[in-house]
Amino acid sequence: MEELSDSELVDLFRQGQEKAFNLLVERHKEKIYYLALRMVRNHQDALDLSQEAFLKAYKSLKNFKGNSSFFTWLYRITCNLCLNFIKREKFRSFLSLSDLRRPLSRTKDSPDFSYERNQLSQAIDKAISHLPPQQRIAFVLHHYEGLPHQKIAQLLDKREGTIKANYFQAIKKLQRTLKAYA
Amino acid sequence: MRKSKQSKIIGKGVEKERQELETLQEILKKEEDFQPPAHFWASYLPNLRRKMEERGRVHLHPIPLLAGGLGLLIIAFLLFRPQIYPPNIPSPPLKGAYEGGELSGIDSAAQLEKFSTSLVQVFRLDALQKGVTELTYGQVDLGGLGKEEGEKLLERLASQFGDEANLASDLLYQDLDIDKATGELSASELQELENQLKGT
Repeated sequence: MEELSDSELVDLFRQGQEKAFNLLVERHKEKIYYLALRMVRNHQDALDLSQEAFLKAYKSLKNFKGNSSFFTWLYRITCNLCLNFIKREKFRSFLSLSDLRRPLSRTKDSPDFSYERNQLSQAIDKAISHLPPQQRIAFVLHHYEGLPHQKIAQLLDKREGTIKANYFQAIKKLQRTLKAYA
Repeated sequence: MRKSKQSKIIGKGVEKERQELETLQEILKKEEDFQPPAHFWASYLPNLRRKMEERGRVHLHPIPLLAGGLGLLIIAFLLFRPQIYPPNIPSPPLKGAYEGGELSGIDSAAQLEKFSTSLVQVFRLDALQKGVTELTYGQVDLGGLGKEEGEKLLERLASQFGDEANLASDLLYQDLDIDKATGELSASELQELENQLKGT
């Protein structure tokens, strides 16, 4: 079964073979986790969001129309979940006057997770965490995921010009914030 | 002669942009990769399956369903009942305070709840949205409200709207779209900026 394509696994899952979904998870879990991680800059949240994406896919896969590939569909679900999460967090932090999300290096939620990032990496985490959601996703998808602006626009259902502007603004902000590390 | 001077100025600007972009890229290259612990990937699927089973086991019982249904009916009634005050007649004192852009009279959680409820009752949904937007953008003075009251306001508004995540975030970011922030850059301008960044 492992040599089957995504669409064949989707078909099998629709026919009732649960194992096919396990294979889809195994195949894409890393990409989805790292996408979420780059967006939210926090291990625990990235884990939750990536699993939430798979849960949503599991629930909706029977209605999946197949207009795009399974991975593109899953990728879009993850992007939307991350965007909603970031917006909600920003709104909460605004009202509670607390700082933004805890950085990647914090280990409170996962005591065995003792990996400490260096000062520059933490500064990058912080700088990216302070970008508005649309700028952040445009930056992450272009810089880390290597997607062209046109593809990002399709993925997020936005105009290409908007994505370029978001990316440009993100770059400008990061340049200002990280100036000291030049 | 003048054209040549302009070209030099533009050339310098492009060169500066390019250098700045390269500097940023150099900084970002130094970022450490983030690797989760080895056992993380092994436990990923079992954890996911456990979550699936947990969610599959959630069944709503008739009583909570009935209570939820009644709650929804009450909220729907509050939101969509006929407007008591004609739109052009300012009547309750809250309206004046609200339009003044300050919440200085509100200094307790109880008053805050009252204000929130009144927004729904008096100004209906659109006014509440405006209220939330203004609160969000800090146009309304939150005065001495502390963290607890702030959280309470959020909960209250969320319960009245039903969909906290989408509404709150939409309201918060609808005006932060970069097109508006940069004054509606045209596609050609954006392309030009992009080209400048790439140094083409």
